[in-house]
Amino acid sequence: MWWLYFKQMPASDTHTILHRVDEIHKLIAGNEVPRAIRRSMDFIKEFSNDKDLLKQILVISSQYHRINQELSIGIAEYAYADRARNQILFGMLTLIDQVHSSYSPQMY
Amino acid sequence: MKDITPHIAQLSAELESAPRTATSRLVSLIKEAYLEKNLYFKALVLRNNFLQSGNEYLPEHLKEDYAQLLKEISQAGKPEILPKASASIPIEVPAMDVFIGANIGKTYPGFELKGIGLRLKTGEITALVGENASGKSTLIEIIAGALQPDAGQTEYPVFETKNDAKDWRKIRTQIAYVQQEFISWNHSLLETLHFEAAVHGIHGEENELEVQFIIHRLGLQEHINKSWSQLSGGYKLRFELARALVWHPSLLILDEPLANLDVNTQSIILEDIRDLAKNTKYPVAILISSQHLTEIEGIADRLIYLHKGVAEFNARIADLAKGAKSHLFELECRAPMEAIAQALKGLHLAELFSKGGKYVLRTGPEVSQAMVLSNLVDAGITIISFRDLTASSKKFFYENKEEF
Repeated sequence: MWWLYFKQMPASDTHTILHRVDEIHKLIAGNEVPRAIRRSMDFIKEFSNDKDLLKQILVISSQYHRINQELSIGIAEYAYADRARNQILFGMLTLIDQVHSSYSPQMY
Repeated sequence: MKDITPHIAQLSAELESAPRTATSRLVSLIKEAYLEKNLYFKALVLRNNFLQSGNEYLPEHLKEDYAQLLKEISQAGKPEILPKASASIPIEVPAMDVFIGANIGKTYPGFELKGIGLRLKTGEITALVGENASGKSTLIEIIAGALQPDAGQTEYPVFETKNDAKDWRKIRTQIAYVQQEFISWNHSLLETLHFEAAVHGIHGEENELEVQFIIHRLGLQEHINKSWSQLSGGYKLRFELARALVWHPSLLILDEPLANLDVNTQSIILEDIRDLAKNTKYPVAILISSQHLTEIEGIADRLIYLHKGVAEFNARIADLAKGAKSHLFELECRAPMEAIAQALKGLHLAELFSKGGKYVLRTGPEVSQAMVLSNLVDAGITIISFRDLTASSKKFFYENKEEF
């Protein structure tokens, strides 16, 4: 399992790609979704050359923005918004995992 | 590898009494047990949903999700295979010298900036602080290539061609400079961002992608169809940042970006600035001037304190407390000065004075903030705010700073 490496890391300020993944996971678990989206954008741009993945996170960002707008003007039901939010969160987690799984330092 | 099975009954019981702890523990346990990634993702989302619900207790539908997840965990198979070794390779932010200045000087009638040396590296944030008319703007303009120094040397290793005379036009176009006073954007916000990317060589699909990226990254979607005059001060700054960053500069200069911003906007902008500087693919050297000392010290790596044109401190933030022969504390409370002096009598205060509605206390290095606080509380003094300034540049702004 990929997070096994947390146990093997030295206690220092040195960052690894796992730190970055964990940062986004913590933001999601802590309900800091806007920042989780922003950091996911940074993560994908920094660790992937795949433009499609970048486009996918932009779509996720748009969807999240749209749901919040619909909620704020009262045209979305909470149950629908909750489902949509969860789809966004799973989409984001999957994207991050995809970039993480395919990351190779030799790419840069 | 941790076996999660014995914890399931406890997790189930905890749900009623302490859902906050239960959902948090569930995330940790799945992670420690190396269960399937999908279960971990479900636990993260469930924890998110619980916090999103804003309830102290888990709503019914989330209880059902929680029970279902526990069931899936108890039936979970073997852990997934280990990741490849590249996952643990350290990520480093490339540190390139973008600006090197030595002994920089500039003289005006009645004012002299003198002997300034600094080095701006990608991945580093340098804070420039000082009172009004201390020379901050002059130094910024020199670094931005908008003003020629009278003395000293300036180099831009990333932008200059070796052995050639400085091509100032080329250098200036490589520096992103966000001034305190914004000039109105005449064209639409979107067109301006596309244009800015294009003049820096980003064309076609790349241009579209970079512009969309920066719009979303800085949270500008809702405002992209507005005109410049319809934007608030905070969003004008964000659009200026977008224009500066859309072409991935190596050097970003921000002159008083936090002025007139509310606290929430300040913290988001500071977070963004820190993230952008530390970007591993497009790292930026950032020079930022500000009067918001606490906020700026929170993100800066280095700090320059200018006083009457001289850099009285020019080192890493971590060195601010180095060699301090005394401790300086700032206290805000309603008690009279005599009561404070009486409360701290046993600590042998070196100095106690009032400035800007706050008290400033100086003690010997053996006196900790815990000792000061404890004495104040014991004397029944209600503290509004308290701060140890020993490791803050704010100490320079108080009188008698020469002694620190």
